[in-house]
Amino acid sequence: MKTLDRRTLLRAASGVLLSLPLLESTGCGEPKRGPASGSRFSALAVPNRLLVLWTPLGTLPGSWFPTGSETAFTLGQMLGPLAPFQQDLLVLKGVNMPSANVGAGDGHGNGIGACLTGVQTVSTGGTMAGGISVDQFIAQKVGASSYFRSLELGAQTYYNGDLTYERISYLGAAQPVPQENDPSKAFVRVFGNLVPTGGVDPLFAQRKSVLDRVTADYARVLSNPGLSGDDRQKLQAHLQSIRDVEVRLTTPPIAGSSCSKPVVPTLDYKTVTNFKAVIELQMDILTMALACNLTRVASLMMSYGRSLAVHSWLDPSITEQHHLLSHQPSPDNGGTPDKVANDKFRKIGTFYTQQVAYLLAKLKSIPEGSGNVLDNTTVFWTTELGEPRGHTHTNIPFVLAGKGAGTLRPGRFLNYSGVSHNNLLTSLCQGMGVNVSSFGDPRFCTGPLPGLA
Amino acid sequence: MVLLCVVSACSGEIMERLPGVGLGAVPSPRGGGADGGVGNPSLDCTAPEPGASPLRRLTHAEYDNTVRDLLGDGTRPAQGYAADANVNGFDNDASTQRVSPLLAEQYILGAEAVAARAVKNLAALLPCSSTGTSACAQSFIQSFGRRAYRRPLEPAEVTDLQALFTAGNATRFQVGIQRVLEAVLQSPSFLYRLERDSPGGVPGQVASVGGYELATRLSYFLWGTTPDEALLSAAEAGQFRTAADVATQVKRMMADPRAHASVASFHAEWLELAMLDSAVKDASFGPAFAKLQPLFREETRRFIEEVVWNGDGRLATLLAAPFTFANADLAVFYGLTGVTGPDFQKVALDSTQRAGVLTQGALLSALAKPDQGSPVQRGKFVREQLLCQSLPPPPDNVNTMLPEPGPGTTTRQRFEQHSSNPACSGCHRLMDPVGLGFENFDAIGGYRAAENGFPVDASGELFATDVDGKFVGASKLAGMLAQSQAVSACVIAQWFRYAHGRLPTSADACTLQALGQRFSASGGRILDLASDVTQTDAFLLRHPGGTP
Repeated sequence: MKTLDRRTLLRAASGVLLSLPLLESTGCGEPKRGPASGSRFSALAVPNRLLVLWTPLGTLPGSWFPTGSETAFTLGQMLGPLAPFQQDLLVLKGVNMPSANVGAGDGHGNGIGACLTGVQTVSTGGTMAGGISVDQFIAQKVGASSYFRSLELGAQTYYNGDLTYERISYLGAAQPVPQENDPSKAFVRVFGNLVPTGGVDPLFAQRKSVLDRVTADYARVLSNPGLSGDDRQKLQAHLQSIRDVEVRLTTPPIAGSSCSKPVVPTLDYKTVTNFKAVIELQMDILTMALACNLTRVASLMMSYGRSLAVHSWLDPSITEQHHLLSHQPSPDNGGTPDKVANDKFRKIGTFYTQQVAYLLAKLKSIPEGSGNVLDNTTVFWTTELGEPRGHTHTNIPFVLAGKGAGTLRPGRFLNYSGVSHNNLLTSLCQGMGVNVSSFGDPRFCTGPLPGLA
Repeated sequence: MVLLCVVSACSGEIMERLPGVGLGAVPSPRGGGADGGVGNPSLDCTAPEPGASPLRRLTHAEYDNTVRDLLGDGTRPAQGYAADANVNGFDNDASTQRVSPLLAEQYILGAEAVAARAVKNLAALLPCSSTGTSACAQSFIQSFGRRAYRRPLEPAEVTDLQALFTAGNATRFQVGIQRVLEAVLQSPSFLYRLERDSPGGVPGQVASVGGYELATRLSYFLWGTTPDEALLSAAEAGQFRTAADVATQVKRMMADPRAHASVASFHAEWLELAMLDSAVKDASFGPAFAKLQPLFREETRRFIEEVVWNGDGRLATLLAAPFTFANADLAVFYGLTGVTGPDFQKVALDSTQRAGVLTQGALLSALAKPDQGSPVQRGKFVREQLLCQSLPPPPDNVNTMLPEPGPGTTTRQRFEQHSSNPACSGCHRLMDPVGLGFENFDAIGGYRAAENGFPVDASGELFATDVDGKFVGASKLAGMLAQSQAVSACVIAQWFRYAHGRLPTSADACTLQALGQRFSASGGRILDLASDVTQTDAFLLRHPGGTP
């Protein structure tokens, strides 16, 4: 229903769908230079993409990390649903987040602020990340030729507008990037402009003429020498944001070769009983956004930092907030374990793992080149804490998946015994062709993480 | 594990804001007026000082109201935009209003959607009866532009919009008008409240805010929307020269329903009433809460409206009133008799149990966990929202979860950990003794005399305030807070934030002091305070460029 229907997938697998006429019938075209297509967007030759997944509240390490050797290992209970994809995974152990041990907020806020930035949080009334996040950094370097420089989607990330816990991506210190939480809106945004091959929406030319006037208007206001520095920055940021989106909003996209629109029904995306459905729809959209070559950098944030969601839809016996369950004594943190609470926490964690497995299945199902979309993707799954009861920022349960267009060699369990996650972020940059030797706070970075490829 | 520094950090931070320490000191990051509104004799207020006036973007609520008032479009389109940041309750903090690419896109597509709806009824939109002429379009650009930009258009702006009209008009007249609307609704002069330096102002010297800018300040503050024709005409006629001119407009504006909406918004943000909407309760409270949640919302809305507009209008009454509003279902929940039917009516409370807004279901159920009340959240709320005191987050590596309530324990017993563990007690001694005063209320604000078979001990203590002392029960606490000068100063600071979209700083000491003195003289009347906010340096004056 909400996914590519089975018939479509079968046809895709047999290659029939990928011939042009059928593609047009789904509304998604191959690149063609139509009348208005002075398009600057080009289909890319199987590039690596970065897809960030974020889930709240860390893990119970003893129920998570694999046992065994680098290549012969058994996943922990909470990673169980990923067993069919073990050969697609790099499970990392012993990677710490020292940039979250400093900072202006609480353990959750410092963790969510540091997890993609590798710098400490800053105080802004609440707390926010203190620098650019790795996805936005990479997007700025590689996204200029993409239809979307980056795509940020969410599933029930709303927490009364408290951005400390609602944001993972940042353009810079205290410049959070919002997500789209409504799959219907995300669908329209991502695929709404896809027009039948050769067709040109007259809307684009009209919009272009208005945007030209609007940007001239900003320039006029900015030419006033009496503007203060802060006010000027604010208006310049707005103008920059318009420029970031205007080309895309005035040019039809050029789709990749395995592209077809997902089916996205309207649903109440805020109610917790639809949490799973929303996640799956957003994953469907992200999968096709990658397959259609609409972007190379995307993220999906699921719930929010220190999540207070009550997942009784998953199991009626779960009547406590996820946050509360995360902080009970367990075999991982001393004290007398609260077995009931631990089991509920494991159940929620396992649910999130199932969702990751859903995504990997999707990415693998779509052929691309001689392989599939997952082969040319780096999935990076991250969170705000290591072990939640102690609010630790050590041994974060990072998981990578995919071959990253040859930059990753999955199917392994890597124990780093205490290295900073800034090194991992550096590796993500390098895997995307952004050749930096350090990312985030240099105090916590010694170069890329070895052994991933 | 045990972080002794936390103790001193918390006590040190709060001491800075103690009443009587003096407004010249570092201002509270939460915006507290530190002197309790009683005035600081050492403060020199001879020179006018408005503080900073950072550029403000329309909040999403203001944008929606503005679109409604300009075009009759009540669809509230911005509710679907990327949310404004909530900073301690308020959504208008200028420092957080940066526009991300997603929001920029939403402004573009939103403007197109609003314009498309508007041109469906050209007759209602245009100022001229003869549609289809370029003279009519010209007149529309001038008149609509003036309302949307809240000032007359400059010649270059008219030229630009005229060009858009002409291009669209080649297709159809309506399309030309549509293009004009799209551009206006995306203009920085529409989305931002640009304030120009007055011509002839002396560099480095404080100047009066211009007439159109004052009309805009007044309108968004008191009405949450764009200025009406009377305000724009007054600005055009040069009738915004003095504080008295402003007061004349304020008097008119306060009689308008939009003022009621804005005062309601202030209270909803200050008291963080939106928390009620996202509160989740467990199976034992959930079904009852689902029924009560809309009643709580309506109760508090009516209560605030009644106290502020129909009653004595005093902050003290808001905090400690011996009455509330209830219909039959809510009255049963509160243990009150004599109310029948679904309509709300004013009812007297059993003042040994409840008094004022803090003891209403809306706040009690929001400041609670799914299965139990939360003394920490309740105490923190009083400290932060009512006393404007700032509490740092709990330290890392300390387990912040207390044992679950067992059959043999009370909430109070579980919280004793906070006072026995020095890593916790530094801050929790400020929150818990206040929050435990609400122990008579469960997870949804139901009254209880016993918990787990033990009689409830609702004794508490206020300290580090100007009304320190021990008390038993929330009604007594409410009475103490109602008498507090520090609470008055805090509420003044909250109104300042609502009016100015920023925290007060030490530059605003004289503005806050003046407001404190007037508030005290008025007997603590909230509407007088709202009016007085428009009579201060911060409201009437500005530094060139907006920065001191």
